[in-house]
Amino acid sequence: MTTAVPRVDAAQLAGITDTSPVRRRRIGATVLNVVVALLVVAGAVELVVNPNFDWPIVARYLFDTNVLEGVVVTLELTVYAMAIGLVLGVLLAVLRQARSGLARGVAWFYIWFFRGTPVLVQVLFWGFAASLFPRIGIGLPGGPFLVSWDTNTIVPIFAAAVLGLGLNEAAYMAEIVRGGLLSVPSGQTEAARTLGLGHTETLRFVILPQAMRVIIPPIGNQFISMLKMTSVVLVIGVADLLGSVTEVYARNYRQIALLLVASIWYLALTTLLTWGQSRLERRFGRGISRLGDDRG
Amino acid sequence: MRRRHGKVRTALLIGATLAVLGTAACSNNPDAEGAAGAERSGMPETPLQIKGQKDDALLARFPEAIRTSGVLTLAADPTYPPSTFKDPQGTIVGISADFAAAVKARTGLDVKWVEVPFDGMLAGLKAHRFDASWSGWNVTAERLQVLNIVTYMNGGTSVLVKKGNTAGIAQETDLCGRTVTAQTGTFQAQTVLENLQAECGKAGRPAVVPLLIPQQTNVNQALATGRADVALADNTLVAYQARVQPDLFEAVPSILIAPRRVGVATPKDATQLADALAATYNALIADGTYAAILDRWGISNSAVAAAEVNPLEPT
Repeated sequence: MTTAVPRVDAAQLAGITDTSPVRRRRIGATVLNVVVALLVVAGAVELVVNPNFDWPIVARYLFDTNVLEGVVVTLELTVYAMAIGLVLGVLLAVLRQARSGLARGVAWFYIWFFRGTPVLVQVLFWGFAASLFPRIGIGLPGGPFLVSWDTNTIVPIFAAAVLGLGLNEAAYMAEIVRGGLLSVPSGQTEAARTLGLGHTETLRFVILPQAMRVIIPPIGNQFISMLKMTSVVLVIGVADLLGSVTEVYARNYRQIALLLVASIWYLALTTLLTWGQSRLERRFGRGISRLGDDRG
Repeated sequence: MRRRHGKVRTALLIGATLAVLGTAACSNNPDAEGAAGAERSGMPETPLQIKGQKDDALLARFPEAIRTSGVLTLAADPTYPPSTFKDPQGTIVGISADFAAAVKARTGLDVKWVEVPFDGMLAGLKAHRFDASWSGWNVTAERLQVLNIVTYMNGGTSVLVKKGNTAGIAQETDLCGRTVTAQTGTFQAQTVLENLQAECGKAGRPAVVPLLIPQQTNVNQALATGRADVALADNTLVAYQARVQPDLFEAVPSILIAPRRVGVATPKDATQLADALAATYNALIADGTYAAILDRWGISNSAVAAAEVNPLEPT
């Protein structure tokens, strides 16, 4: 036999009839919401209504062949420059921790020089390197060349742009990688050594996987920053995305519309890179929930 | 041990900084420049002579907003000698700057310079960021649709090559198959290169490889370093570069492409200003200042009989 137990509501006991949670009126927040909403709507309407944005022109040039070629050049510049930056950056980071004082000094000098001068200057320098070294070759210092080549042939204008961007990037990358390596406690190395792992194995299986967690987010950042920084190469006449739209608007005089075209492409590409970055972060953050899963 | 290490590094850093600054400081020494002999000022020897007096009737022709402020805001791209460039003190000088000084003397209006790269001039004019662009604008039908050009000189496009003209450039079709550099957005980068491509195609010769660069100084550098075989620019610039850097460049005298009128530009809706500027230039022609300025820069053969607003046909 079961006895029906009457349900007793605490609120009823206390004599309260309205049990919905009390809402405190926040007038400030409401006003702010209204203002922000109005601004967003006004901005959206302005984008559509203001004829100066020239949307028909933007649409016409968004997939123009010249612009698309520029997008390809920008992507190529970014990938090549980042590849140089990564490889050289890792090498420099390792050199900075080398036992040899000379190696440390060289790495330090490299970073000092390439981080200390504007990338624009470095791009100009590589673009017009032939005024310093008309020929590049192999020979004794100060003596005649055994073999030599014309600088402009060996370093075409596109390669000059990649070198300018990549060598500059290496200096920043070196510091990022060094920071990552330093973030792994030295006890990890000691433990790995105790287990009998060699120098390279310790680096490969113990240090780098842990350092990667720290290294990946800033590298993603550098990648995105590089994508936009490539636009400086237009000073030496490389027709990247910005260079191509510059040439188009110099011809049709629709500067703002074409700058919008470039901006849309840059935004699309950075969005893609951001997505790639979060995928990579998740992969290298496995086992550490805060990084491995951004639903946290 | 660690402390000593830190001290050594600090000393190194300071040493390196001083070394760099030391090198920089030397280059500001005027004697060093004379010894190197590479730098020339490019300024003419005769001083600027303005012959007429301030004329209130001329001033009255300018738009009210400009008369009230008393200031004419002019855009210049100071990388384009001898039209506009900077002297060692950083002042904007050149043929166009001389004309600005003459306009100032005749109207009493102050001149305020705004530095703008050439490919940004048009947007700046449209946005009314300055009253007029003081670059040398070649007249084209396309340009006249979006701005007014007050012409006061005969211009044209000349070819600049490296000293010795090893490529043997003597006529327009010799440019086919060559790398040709020009400043982005200029008449040369657009109309001239386009016509050249058509000509090369018709002659069955290989196409021109264009190398367009935003600053004229870097265009010159591209030629100097062999990135390009020839540079295309206004005849005045080509003559000037060949004169100032004879050990580096030479002009090709046998080529003058697309001779046409050259002048300053105002926004399309600023017709009153364009007319007032034309009247001022004509006053300068009448009082002899015009001839004196052209003579000063060695370009008397570019003289026109009268300044005009938007003349399309070359005369």
